[in-house]
Amino acid sequence: MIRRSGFLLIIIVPAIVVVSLYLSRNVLVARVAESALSRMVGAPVAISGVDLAPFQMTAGFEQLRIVDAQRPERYLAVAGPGRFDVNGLQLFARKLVIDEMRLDGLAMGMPRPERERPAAPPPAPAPADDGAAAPPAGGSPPASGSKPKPGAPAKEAPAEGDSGSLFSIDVALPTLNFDALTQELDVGRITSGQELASVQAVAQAEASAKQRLTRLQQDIATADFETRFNVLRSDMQNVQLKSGNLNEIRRSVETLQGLGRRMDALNNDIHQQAAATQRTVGDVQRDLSQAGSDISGDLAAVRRLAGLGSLDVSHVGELLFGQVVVQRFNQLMGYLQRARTMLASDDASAAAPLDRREGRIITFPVTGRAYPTFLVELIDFNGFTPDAEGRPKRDFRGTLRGLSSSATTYGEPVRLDVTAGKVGGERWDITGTFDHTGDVGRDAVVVAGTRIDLGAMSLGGGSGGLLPHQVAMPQARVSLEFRRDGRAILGKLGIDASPVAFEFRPADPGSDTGLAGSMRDLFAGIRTLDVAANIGGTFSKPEFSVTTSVDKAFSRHLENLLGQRMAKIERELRRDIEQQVAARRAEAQRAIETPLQQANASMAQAQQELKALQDRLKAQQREAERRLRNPFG
Amino acid sequence: MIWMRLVGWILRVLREGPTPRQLSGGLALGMAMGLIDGWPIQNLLLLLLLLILSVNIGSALLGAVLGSMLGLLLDPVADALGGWLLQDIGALQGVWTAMYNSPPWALTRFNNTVALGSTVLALVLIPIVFVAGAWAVRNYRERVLTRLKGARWVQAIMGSRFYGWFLKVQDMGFI
Repeated sequence: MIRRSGFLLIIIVPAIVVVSLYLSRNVLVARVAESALSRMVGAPVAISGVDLAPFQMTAGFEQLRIVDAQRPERYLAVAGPGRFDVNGLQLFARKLVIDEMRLDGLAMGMPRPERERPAAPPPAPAPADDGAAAPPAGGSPPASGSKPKPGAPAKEAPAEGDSGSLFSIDVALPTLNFDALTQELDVGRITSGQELASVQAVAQAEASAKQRLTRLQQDIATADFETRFNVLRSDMQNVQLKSGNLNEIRRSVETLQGLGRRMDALNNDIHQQAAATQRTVGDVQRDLSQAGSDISGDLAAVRRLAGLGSLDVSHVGELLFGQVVVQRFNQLMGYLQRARTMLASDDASAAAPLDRREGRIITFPVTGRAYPTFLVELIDFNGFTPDAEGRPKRDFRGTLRGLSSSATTYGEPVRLDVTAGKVGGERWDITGTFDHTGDVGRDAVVVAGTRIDLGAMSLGGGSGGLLPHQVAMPQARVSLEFRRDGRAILGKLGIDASPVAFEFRPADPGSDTGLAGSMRDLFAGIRTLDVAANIGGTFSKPEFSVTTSVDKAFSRHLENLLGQRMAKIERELRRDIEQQVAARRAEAQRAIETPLQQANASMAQAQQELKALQDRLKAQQREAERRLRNPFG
Repeated sequence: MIWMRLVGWILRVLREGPTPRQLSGGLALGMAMGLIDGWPIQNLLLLLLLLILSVNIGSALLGAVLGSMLGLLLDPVADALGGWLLQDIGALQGVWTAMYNSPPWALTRFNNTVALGSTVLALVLIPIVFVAGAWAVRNYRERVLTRLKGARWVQAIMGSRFYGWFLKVQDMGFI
């Protein structure tokens, strides 16, 4: 019942297959690994010198090269030699579990040789009709009207983490308006176009004065002193003192006494009216002289109109160092995001087309240890970060534990511990915990560096040459802490540098050289720098603050400069406004002069006439008394 | 044409050549492989048996086709059977849990209801198909074929010119 040929078949064919696989195992494993890693990182991966020991379940390689997908002229990482062992039992469950991996000579960001780079796309043919030059290789033609300036710097490649990723912070950084310090102000032009409140006050005082004088004139006219004088004068003429009749004389005396009382009443009225006139004239003149004397409101309004006082120095820290800090945080988050996208997720399994019923997968309690589809328990690595030429700049050594395709299954967060530094120089300690075992991912990275050469850091606000465009920090202490809990973020960056040297771009031609010189003097005197940056809130609504040791000195200096300039401008403004008010006041005084004089003249005339009548009445009274004593004399 | 060749081949192997056990053995193993969907390790074991045992490969291929067609009909039954075995029989839970925690058993896809159910159905059908197939071939050769050969209408056909041309065409490889 046994088929001899079949028996031979199942021995020989598998034997040939096994031998072939064994002989070609290294090439096969290299190809499979290159393909899988390329899919993970989204960039070409090359592995050379693979050595697979199937019976020991260990493997090694001489060199691993991963191209940076965003910058193909560089490698994301170059490593080698490396060695790792595989948990063979888990391969039956289609799970790749690496218990321990050792990676030597890991270098990040190494330059890629020219011969390995992809050929640049051919330049687009130049348009035949206008003969314009073709755009540079790989670039797009400039839009019409936006030709680059000659000598303008080429656009830099986007920094890592700046690719508009989900995990990037977009903070609106403050700007500093130096116009208040630099712009030339034509005080006369500003005030002439303005309705000055003080001039308006003079006009209002004039209108009020005219109104009051009109009312005064009406009161004088209503009093009708002339008529009353005439009546009195007529009644006085009718008094007969030449009669020898005693009774008639007595009646005349009584009439004169009555006239005297009426005269007294008229006298009283004239005095009251004269007092009222004096009072009104005095009030009008006082109001007019005082109107427009308070020009503080006009000064504030004109200052606002001219944009003076808009120099907000309360966010100097964010202005100068905000860009640097946000870049650092986004760079860090870019690394985090890239690491996360590289990991194949157990959740993203492709559904195979089945024509037959798929069936249900029944799960049972896991009594042993659960493994995700991909797991590296421990990576022990060492390497270096290269300089621009690819030479080792600083060495590092560290471990990465629990790198898995499903942290939920693995049950432990990924932990990173790295120390880096130069002999006798800088030292970095980096710890990271990336916990995605729950529903919400929690990442934490803590970086501490001492004796760090931060080089020249670009600063914000360098345009115009008034603020420094970069600061050199050859020796600094750096601390960076970043935590992410779902969409919530918390970051702290501290830099303690000494010495520091601020560098300025040449001041714009035509700018205020005095101001530029003053700013340079200020920053030249700063030798130590403390920067403390905090970021919080969420990715969509980040809260951002930066405080530095420069802030106070810088704010004080600017406020001082602004104060001097404001005092000078205010003097000019005050003089100009006062001149306008004085001119308007003189005009108003001229306008009320006539009614004022008329009122005074009316009252003076009434008083004169009253005096004459009083004298005449007194003479008549004396004559009447004499007659009464001697009726026939 | 291929159907005529297939029918001709079936009639020939039923008539002469392989023994009834070789024919039914191949049919049973092939049908089991067709019934179990995909390539879990049990199908590889069946293939190994197919190569080692002296069974007819042609009947195994025929059995695989028939098994696949049968699988389309029996998958709901296999799903229910697998679900019952995996979930409803308390005594087996310990076995399934132990197998679930042992990675090599994952190669059998035992925790898939259809895979387990179809495997069980295949194990049940293999002896039935083997025994029934062997009996049927033996009876066909001893009774049906002998009786057909003695029938006058068959002798008339076999003695006719048409049958002679048919044999010539068959020998030339067209049928």
